[in-house]
Amino acid sequence: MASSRFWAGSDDDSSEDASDASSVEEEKVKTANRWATVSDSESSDEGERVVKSAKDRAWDGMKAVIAKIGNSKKIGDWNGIQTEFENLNKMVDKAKMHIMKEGLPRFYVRTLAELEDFLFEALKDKEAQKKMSASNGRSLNRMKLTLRKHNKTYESQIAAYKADPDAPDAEDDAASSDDSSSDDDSSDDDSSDDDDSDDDSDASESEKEKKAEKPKKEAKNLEDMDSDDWASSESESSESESEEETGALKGRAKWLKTTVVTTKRVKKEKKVDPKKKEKKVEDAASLASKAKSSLAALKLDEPMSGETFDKKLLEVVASRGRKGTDARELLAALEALAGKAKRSFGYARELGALMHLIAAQFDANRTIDDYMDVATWRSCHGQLGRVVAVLSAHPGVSLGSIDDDDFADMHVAHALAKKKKGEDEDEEEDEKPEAAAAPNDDPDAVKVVGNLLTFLARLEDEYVKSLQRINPHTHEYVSRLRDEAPLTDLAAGVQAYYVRVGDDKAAATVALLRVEHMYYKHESIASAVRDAQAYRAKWGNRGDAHAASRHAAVATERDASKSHPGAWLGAATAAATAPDDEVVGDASASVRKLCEYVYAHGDDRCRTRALLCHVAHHALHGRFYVARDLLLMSHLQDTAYMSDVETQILYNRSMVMLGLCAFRNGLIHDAHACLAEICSSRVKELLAQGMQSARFSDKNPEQEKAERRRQTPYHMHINLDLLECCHLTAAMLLEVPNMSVEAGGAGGHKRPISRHFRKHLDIFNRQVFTGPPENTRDHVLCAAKALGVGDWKTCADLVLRLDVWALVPGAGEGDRVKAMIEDKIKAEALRTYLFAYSSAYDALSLPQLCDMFQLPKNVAHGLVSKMMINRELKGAWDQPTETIVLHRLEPSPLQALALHYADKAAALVEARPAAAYGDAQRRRGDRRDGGNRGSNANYKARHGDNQDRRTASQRRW
Amino acid sequence: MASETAQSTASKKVDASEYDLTQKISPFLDAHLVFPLLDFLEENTSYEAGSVQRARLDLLAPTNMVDYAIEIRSALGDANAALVEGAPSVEAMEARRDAVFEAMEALEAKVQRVAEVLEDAEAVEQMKRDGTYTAADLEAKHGIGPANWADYFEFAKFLYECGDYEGARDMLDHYLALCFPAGKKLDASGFRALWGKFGSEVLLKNWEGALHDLGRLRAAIDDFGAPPLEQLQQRSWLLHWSLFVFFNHAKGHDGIIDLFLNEKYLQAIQTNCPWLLRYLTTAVIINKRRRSTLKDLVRVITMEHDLKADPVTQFLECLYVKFDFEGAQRTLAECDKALRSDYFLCNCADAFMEDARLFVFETYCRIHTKIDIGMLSDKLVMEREKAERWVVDLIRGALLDAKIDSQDSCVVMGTDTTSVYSQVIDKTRDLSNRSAALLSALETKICEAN
Repeated sequence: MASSRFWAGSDDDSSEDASDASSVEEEKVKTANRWATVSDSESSDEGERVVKSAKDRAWDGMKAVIAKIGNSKKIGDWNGIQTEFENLNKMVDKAKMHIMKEGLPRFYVRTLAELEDFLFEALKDKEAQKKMSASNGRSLNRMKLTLRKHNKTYESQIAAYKADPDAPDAEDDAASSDDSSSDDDSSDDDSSDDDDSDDDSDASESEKEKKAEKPKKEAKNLEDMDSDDWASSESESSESESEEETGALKGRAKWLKTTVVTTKRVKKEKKVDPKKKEKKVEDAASLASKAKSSLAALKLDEPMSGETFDKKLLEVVASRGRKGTDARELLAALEALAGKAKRSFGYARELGALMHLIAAQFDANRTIDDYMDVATWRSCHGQLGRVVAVLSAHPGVSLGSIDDDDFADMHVAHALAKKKKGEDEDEEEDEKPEAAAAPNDDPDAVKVVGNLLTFLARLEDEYVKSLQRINPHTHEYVSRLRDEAPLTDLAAGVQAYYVRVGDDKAAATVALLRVEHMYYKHESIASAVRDAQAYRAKWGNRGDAHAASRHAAVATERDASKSHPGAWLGAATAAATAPDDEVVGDASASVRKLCEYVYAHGDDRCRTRALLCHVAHHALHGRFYVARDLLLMSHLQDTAYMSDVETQILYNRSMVMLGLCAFRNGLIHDAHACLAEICSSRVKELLAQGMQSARFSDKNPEQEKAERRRQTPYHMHINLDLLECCHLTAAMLLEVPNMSVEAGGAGGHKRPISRHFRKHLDIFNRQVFTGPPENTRDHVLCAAKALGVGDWKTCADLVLRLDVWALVPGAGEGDRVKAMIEDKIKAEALRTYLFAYSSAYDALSLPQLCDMFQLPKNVAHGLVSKMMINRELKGAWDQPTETIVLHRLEPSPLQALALHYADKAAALVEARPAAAYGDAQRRRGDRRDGGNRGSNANYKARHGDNQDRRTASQRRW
Repeated sequence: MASETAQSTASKKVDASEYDLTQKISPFLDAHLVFPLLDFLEENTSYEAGSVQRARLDLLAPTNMVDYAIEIRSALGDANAALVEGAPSVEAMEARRDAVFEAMEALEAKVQRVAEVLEDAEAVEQMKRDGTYTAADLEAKHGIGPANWADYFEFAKFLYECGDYEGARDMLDHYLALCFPAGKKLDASGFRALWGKFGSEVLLKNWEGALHDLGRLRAAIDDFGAPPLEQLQQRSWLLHWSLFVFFNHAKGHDGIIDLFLNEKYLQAIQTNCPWLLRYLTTAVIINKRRRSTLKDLVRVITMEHDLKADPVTQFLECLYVKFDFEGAQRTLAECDKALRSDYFLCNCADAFMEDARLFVFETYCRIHTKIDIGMLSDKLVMEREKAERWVVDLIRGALLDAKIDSQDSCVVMGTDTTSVYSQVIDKTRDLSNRSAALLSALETKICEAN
């Protein structure tokens, strides 16, 4: 803080003093320079992209440590000296490469020599030694030993140094000595002289003067300690430029000149400054405070020109991500800049500042598993919203992106401008760095850091992450959910922008993002959410409204004695609004529109995901056939297992939703085909709805983390209980008659339809003691047992008793589904009954059957007829009497054996070729697959080719 | 040419004919192919004559049959303001006619050389005999190059647009034969020419030629290698165009089953035009020899869900999916109505009714031992006497193993339980064959091994 203020203050002085500084222009140049140097100084603790070489960085690091050693020396802290010395040696070790190339840096040798001397003196002063603390003394002793040993290696250099201690620094880098470095040195000398002569109130200074043998060096040290080693760092950098000879001649010349300017300025300032030196010394210790001060010192409230604004922005941005920069400070500065830009500099600068601000906010969280806190998220959202608003207010403006080159160019341009101003006072004040960086681009493209799409994606990502982390049963979660609509609205804005710019691909990505936040909501919920959102936006929290006004109609008679005045205007209402391309109150149309856009413009993954979302949305609203056709037409079943895990999860979700939809529509067969494989095992994992307990999982921590990261947020969960219930009920309705065929012996051995169901039924049957059913599965299994003996009433009662049916989305849907299930149970009970017990009858009368199963006549007739046609029931109608006449075929034992034998022989022949060709394994596999294909024949038949969902799912992970 | 689809925009009344598919079909047809449909509608259904005329007028707009258009326009007159709204005036059309004539003359001049060579049928025959009926020979002899052929093709298209289908057909015939002799892959214009020729043949009611072209087109669509979506579209067109052929050609009833149940075309039907299942269903029902396809068809129908409007498929669904005989009986009456108002199916309505009845009866018999004849006549939408006679005919024709109990007026079915012996025979029938096959396979294997 102090140093900058101090610079700023000195500026005026210098301009007064300076003989040639008279015009305002000049003043501006000065200001500019000041900023430039601040940035340079900051870069000394971390390499600056453009000018620093690795060597310089190493050198600077060493210098910093040396400065610390100097500090410790002053207070006689041997402990500190020792640790820093070790540090220094480590650095030297690291910088071996450079040292080999450049030779040992002179300042290092100097330090060694000085340390030796200092140590020598300290050892001589026995009294002081006695006063030392124990640890300090120990350090001193150790230092003595190490230094002696250490210095042996550098004996010759130290000797050389001692012979000529006053030789200029630059001689160390003998090869590179040039104008600038000598110039620089002279400045060093000057400044240190100044310090020496003018400054005596300072304690450290006076201490320094006691050791007056090498005043210059000490002064130099002090400079280091103050870490305002402007000149030397500047000169270093310019040296590095020239040494490496990487830059073009032009660049080099430019840098050289810059240096000249800077050094001169430093000289001047030094001359005036010393009076305030103490302040500087007080505050100069920590780097962090310096960074802070640099931000705070931007004087953002000052009026500034566009030019200075750009520079300030650049300054602030340059400090981003640097060690010791306070993120909050940075954000505040950026925010202030953005606000200023909005007020006075037009959209181009505002966009630039906003984008920087947003980028900086995203920087804040460090690890992948952290989520951005809600406040930051909201402000981020607001800023992105502002960007979009600006963009939509200025059609014709587009965003370009700045890459590293541009950034470097900007710095160069910056420097160039500086030089120009310094030399011939060029009046191109308003030339933006953006424009300088991209002279060839079209003028409407504002170059900004980052890109809108990425930011939006990040924002969405953070939102989802926060939902994953926040406990879903808290108020926080609920209030977080309110941010979804603003998010999608923002996405709509971004999409509109990309459409306008003509970047369809990005627009499609954004559209997909919107779809992904819409598809899982039932229309009724979506519209309710929209309304609530609109209400909140207009009136605030519903709870805050006066109780009397909440449900009131508009009062015609305003009489305070009859009604509360708060109710006179009626309940507050707000019409829901939606982005242009969304249809208010018709989520399906919106989803369709967005999906169609993605289909037309998105890449493969986007299209796949959009399609799955679309399918899920259809399924959620009970449009099974539409959803099914959409899914089948895409042939996604073939490729689902090849996609990324997130898409596979989405696929599973869609498939499950489709299955539930089929179930609700009474399409038991389809429902079972859709649900069977996902529900049979690891449902939670397949749907990413919760983790398996770590004890049973075979995953390593890394995989587990990854799984945790892709969890579906709670509000999007598909109710697992309902899912299991639907799956098991469907399996029961299919499997129980199937099993009774087997048991009745009519159809021989039949392939199980649902192994999962059979397994559970087996376990259930084997239980020694069967208590009353407790969970969903128990209920269904009990029901299955009842169904097995044709007792439809118990069965229906058990299944329908479950609470989960209330979870079926849509008003009144639950009851409808229940009624449907009851009908299905009746029908299947009739079938089961006939399979199991028809052999015990000669004839059955239809009215009696209808009575038994509470079925209308035509339904029962149809069912029985179907069984007859399919040869499941051997019998025929006697039409006039409405009875089923059963043709009993009880084969004699011999005949039965003959049939059995024929079967076996056929099986043998069947197995033979397989055995002969040695691919029995494959054959058997084929057969099973073939059977499976039969089970979802509906899905196969349409696009005959091998879209075996089962195999797809098996390879799902 | 093929890409032109005409949407008949006539303001058709909904109650006119609820089973009319013309509006669904016409977008898949060429404008010219819709005219027969409109003619049929005018004669047989209760559409308002004016609206049909108007539809015709709209159809004519993109074609070159300006004279015809003018005629209709005049007939409609200005009295019918609502109907002629938006249609060009007679004067505009006359101006257009002149333009058409001019264009025609210009084109005619261009193709004169080619036309001269190919005009003389005898000369062409001669050439064919000599083996010089090839593009290369014509180029050598008469200097007819690719550019000429392009003009020739253009002119043929122009003629087609003018309604001169015969001329167009002949020209396209030459064009295809010379430019794309057998074995040469069709290019885009050849492909279009083929569609044009097919259309001309259909309009000329030359079913034999049309059937041939249909086969060629079918192969061409597969070969042409258009993107899948386009192929799907082309298949849909082909399906619709083929209706003309299949319901007019003697062998059409087999052809339609083959084509429509082909997997790719079935897919096209399901995706683009499920209403075509009506035609397929009809064809399957009236084709006694192809009963085996019934199962496939039933499967397809169970998968379709928005066919509730179509009585023909509904009939099949009632009969074979729901076994709802009353429903089948209800829909059968509707089927009659629907078929008689359908351009393609009106000729086979009687056959359909007959066969449908047989279907019902057959299914009914399969699951009954005793049927009341009164009941039966109800189900078959027949009078009692007639029904009895019908059953007797069936019994006499040995189609039915049954007897009539005249006292109870019942049909008593013979029980056809398969005996255990026949079961065993069935099961073991192919054992010896398969064993023999296995043996030979083993032998070859052993030979290989040695």
